[in-house]
Amino acid sequence: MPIAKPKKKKAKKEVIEVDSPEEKSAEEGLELEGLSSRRESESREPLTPEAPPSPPQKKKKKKKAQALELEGDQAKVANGEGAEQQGEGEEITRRTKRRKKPRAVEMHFHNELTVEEEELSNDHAPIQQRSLFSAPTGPAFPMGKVFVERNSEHTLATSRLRVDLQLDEFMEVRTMWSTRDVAMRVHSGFRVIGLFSHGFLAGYAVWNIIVVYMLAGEQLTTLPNLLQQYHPLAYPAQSLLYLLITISTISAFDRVNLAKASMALRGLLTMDPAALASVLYFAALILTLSQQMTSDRIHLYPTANETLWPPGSEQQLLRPWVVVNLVVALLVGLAWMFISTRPDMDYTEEFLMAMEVEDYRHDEKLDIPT
Amino acid sequence: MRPTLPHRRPVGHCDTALVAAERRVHPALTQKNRQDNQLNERYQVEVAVTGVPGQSLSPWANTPSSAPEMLQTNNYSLVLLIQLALLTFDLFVNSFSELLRAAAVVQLVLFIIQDIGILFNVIIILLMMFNTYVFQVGLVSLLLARFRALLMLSALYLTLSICLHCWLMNLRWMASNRFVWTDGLQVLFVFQRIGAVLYYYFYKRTTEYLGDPRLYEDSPWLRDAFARARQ
Repeated sequence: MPIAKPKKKKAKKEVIEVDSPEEKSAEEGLELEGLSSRRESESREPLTPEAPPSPPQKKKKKKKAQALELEGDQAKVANGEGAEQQGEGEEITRRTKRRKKPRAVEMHFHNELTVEEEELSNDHAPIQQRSLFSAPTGPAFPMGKVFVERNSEHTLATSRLRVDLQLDEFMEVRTMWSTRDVAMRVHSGFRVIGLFSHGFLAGYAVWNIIVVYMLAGEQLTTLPNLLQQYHPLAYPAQSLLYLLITISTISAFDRVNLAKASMALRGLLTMDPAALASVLYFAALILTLSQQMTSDRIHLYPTANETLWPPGSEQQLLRPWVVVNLVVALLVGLAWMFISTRPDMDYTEEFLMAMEVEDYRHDEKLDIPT
Repeated sequence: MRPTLPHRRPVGHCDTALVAAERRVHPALTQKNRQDNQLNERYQVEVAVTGVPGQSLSPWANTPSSAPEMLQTNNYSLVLLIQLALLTFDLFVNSFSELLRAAAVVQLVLFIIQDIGILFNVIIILLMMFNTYVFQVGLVSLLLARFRALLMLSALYLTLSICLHCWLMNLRWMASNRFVWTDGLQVLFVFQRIGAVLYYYFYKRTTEYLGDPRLYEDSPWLRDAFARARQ
């Protein structure tokens, strides 16, 4: 709308001139130059202000203020009106500039902006005159210095609100860890490992007993076949079983907070899943360890055949071993099911968060000190 | 001038419990205490900023970790890493040392390193206890009462490990791949492995507990405990 442009320009001039006395009374003057380059900068260094320019310079205004929040707000309001007049390229540029808004807003709160002279463009393209509420559509390079009114009542209120919101984000981004956070993170990490161990142990124990029964045949009639086929796996399986049961047991103790014996006992009496799982895992651990001797005997079947395995002794030695392995598989499977009913329950985590340092005075007789 | 706002952790359900627990633990936190005033001011500023009372940090968590008398996060993380590495190595040796007995010297070296690792773990946990403010003010009995289970278990586990390793090496030194098991060895083996599980659990729990910043600074409950100890 070329006819309207001069009018808008005059209106702008009037606004600027009206604002200038208020700016004079403002605590800090603002001088903006080269907004496009600053907008994309991620630097957070406070920008030093320049001396307030003389009033005639205020009249020269190139709207590069899309990086500034105030002018961004105007663009927001103006887009409804100015969208028709803008080309697609300008809209894309505007959207790109709007994406930079959060960073530009942070820069905005330093209250000081400076644009280097060299950033100003020498290409003095004619400034398109637009209405007061339309978004700027000029080229995306600095054309001149712009003064923005600050520290008015409205701007201060809105800026304070934005400060609160932005500082919340800033604080979340710049979170500092304490030693308690580290401890909690380690505890959570071990809980994840324990959760994996529960499932892997249950599956491995079931697989192991299925292999043993398949090799041993019906009614355990082909035990020599079991010895012949299984002897390389016996000791590694025993070692892996101990490793997984250990991790699972510690994880179950953590969930039930075993060190607080009163709490653990109460959980056991109330059929708490974590307490039951702890008992099952501990029983499985004892049974597994009790079979260490037999597993070593199976492992040494090829080398010491007649001394360790006299003829007819397979039933006497292997039947208890098979039964114990079956019981271990049932125990760890059942414990895994109990854990799975409430996988997020962890009393030790709550204890670590509270960390009552005085409880030793009250629960000396009931609790196991850490 | 807006005061410097403290950091903020991700808010979870335990934060509210922490604040409530700390208010319960420190009932003498009043406005008369100058330090408490400053902490409360910071607390109120944080509430004003976030606008959500109860979700803010406790005053204790706001204490900067860079104070010289505090346990610094980096140091604690490093120590925790070392401790966990030693525990992991101990668990690895307990699980797979029987598979690595092709040469007796291999098992011997593993057992020696394991026993030294247990000893180092005990030393590290004692040093962490000595580094607490509770110990430095002279309340040794409080610390010992609090951590006696771990100390006793560590000593018991170290004893059992050394006995088992000596017995196994004595039996396997001449022929490493032969059947050496007896009932007594089996019993000692079971007790040593069960002791290992309890040792791992209590040790992990203790190292996590020693990350509490309140053990490294003055507090009303510590003053009360000190007054009781002097009586």
